Amino acid sequence: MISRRDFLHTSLAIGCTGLGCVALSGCSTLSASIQTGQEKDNTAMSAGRFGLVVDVEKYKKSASFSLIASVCHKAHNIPRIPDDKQAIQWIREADYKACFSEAERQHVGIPSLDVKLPVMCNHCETPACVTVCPTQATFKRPDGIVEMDYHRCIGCRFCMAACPYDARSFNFVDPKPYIDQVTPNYPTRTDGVVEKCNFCVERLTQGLEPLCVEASGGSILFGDLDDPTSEVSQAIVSGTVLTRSEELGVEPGVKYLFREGHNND
Amino acid sequence: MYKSGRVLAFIAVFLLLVSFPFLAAFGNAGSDPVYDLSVQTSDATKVKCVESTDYMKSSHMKLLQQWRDDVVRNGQNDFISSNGQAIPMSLDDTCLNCHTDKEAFCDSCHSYSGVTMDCWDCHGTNSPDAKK
Repeated sequence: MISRRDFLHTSLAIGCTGLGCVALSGCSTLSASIQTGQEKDNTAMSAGRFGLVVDVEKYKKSASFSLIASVCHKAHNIPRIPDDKQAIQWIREADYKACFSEAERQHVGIPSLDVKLPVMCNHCETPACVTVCPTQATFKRPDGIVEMDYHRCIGCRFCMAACPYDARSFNFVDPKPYIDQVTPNYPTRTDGVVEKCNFCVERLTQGLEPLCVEASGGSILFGDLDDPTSEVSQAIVSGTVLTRSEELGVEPGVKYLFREGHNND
Repeated sequence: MYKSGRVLAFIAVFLLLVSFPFLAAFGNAGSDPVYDLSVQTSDATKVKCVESTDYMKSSHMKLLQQWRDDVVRNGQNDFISSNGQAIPMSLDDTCLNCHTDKEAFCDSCHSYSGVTMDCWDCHGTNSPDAKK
């Protein structure tokens, strides 16, 4: 007859061996995935931190928001839902005055300007949406882009409450019937998930700039904010830059540039 | 036994209820699923098999999950298969380009085994029959 003490010792030994095996197999999967990670795509755009700069004067003169919104919404299979309360928007227009406080407008020397500015997800340096997401469905990539993993989104909408920029939309209904023509090779979404602008990550991997940049007639610039020689960094130092709700300290990655010499409006 | 008649009767009823699904389906085993794992594209030059058929049969779900995490969360684009070729990790662009007949390729086995997939809620935008 086996004693209680021997039984416990034996089961402990068996348990430890089992755990050891599991840990070892875990390690081998890990090293395999690291190996795959070493293969880098040369054509993909990379950055320390991606950002957008809207050249406000140029945008006012030459850009068409309806074109920008239509290419963005078409490429990303964004539905056109008639009910405003349920509408999905990745990019929208907002009044100059609604975007910036009076003090900020005085700071750039333009108290009022008859322009609607394009607003979208700011891909913040310290994104509140990422902090509150209970499933890590929204997360910040090393290149600064705040991404959504729709597979993990449970539709709690904490991120929508946390986002100070109203950049997120919730799919109250199945969006598919509201998509005029589905663009192939880009997934649609399903009801019950939150979505937002993704800085066209699917295009960045092919070395292409975001669609809004391409459709803006050169009035929206895109690039690496961390690289002082990049086009966006050069643009930022060429004038005065505002970001929306700067006082919150979330450090938005979408900047609005007011070039010098236009401050007598 | 105290109230043995009633106890035995209820045990009998309980056993009958529990075994009902088995009794009802006795001898009615469905036929094996008819599936088609062949490539259904006209352009044979595009065909690049991700892994062997056996591996894909047993582990495609794990592979797809790994692809999903690698692309969405880790920002990688290419999968290096066991024979060393780089394959873009994309359900829409890679898998469904060759296996265009979703009904034969996916549904036949999944309906047989009662596995409901959410993939097609969002993916499959490039093959019209992928949408139900």
